Amino acid sequence: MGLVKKKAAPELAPVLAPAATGARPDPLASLEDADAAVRRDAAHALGHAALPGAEAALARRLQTEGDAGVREAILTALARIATPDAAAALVPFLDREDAALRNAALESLQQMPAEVAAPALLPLLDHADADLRIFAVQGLGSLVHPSRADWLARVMERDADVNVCLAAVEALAEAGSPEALSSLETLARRFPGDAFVAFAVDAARSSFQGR
Amino acid sequence: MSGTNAGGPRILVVDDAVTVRAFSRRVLEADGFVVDEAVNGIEGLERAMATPPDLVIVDVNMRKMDGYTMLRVLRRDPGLRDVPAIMISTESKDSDREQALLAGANWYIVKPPRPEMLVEAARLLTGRPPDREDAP
Repeated sequence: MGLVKKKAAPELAPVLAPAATGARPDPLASLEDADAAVRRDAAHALGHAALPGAEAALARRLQTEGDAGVREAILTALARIATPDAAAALVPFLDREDAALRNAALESLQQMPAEVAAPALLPLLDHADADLRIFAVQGLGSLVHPSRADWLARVMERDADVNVCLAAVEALAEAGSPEALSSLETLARRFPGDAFVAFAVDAARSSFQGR
Repeated sequence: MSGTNAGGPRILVVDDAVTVRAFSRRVLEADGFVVDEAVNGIEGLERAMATPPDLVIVDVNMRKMDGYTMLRVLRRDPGLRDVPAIMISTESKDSDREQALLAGANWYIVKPPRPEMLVEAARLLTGRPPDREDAP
């Protein structure tokens, strides 16, 4: 999916301002147009000037949208709107069979400001599905937030699934979080004899210690 | 075997997790394979097209291009369609394995990878014989 800046550019908002001609179509209605180019333009317009109900309409369209360009426009629009409703609208897509769609949904969430994305992702840390918890960890791990290291440390200390824990290690290692060292040691003790865990913990430990 | 050199069969590891790439490299190089890396499906395809590997090991969930999509593209490329592929994923449901096989994978490994499983699968798919003590 396309990249967007963390905050919408206010100077782009007039894209949806009522035209003098009054002929500009309603983008909410145009999302259901038979022409993919019209749907893509509608999503683009909604991303620049969110109308009430835009998040739900975009998410509804995304559920059935088959055109890759329109999908990308919808995901970009939701990332740009970046309201709590937009974040919440993306969460169900993390559970889709379509790998491209679920990865793109995660990427859209990661592009939102941390104070918007985190409340949508944090509840997933307690979800019964480990794959969803992994997505939550990857999402939270990419956010710039003062509680980020604490969230990930708690995962390493408590989550029962080794792959969820390893996702936390990966996220911590990427940013370097020395305060999580004790949680790393805890993780190594929780999964003794797992060669990959030992390797990942050792790599993260080295990364934290600047070696 | 395409891409084979004096160092052994060439394996392309495609995963957005640096730890998985590093672990796979360590395990496979210790067994004589030559390892190349890519961080997503697009980069994986670019590397595979530039230097056809003897085996690809590809993750499912990656940004830009996921593993299923990469394998489907690989299987449509006349020069790469016969390259064996291992799909590696945290997802362990039967439907995940089925989806991997339908996309063109020859083998499916659930993360975290066990070194011996990784090596045995790589040997089998690249046609390398097992260790002498394992031989019948």
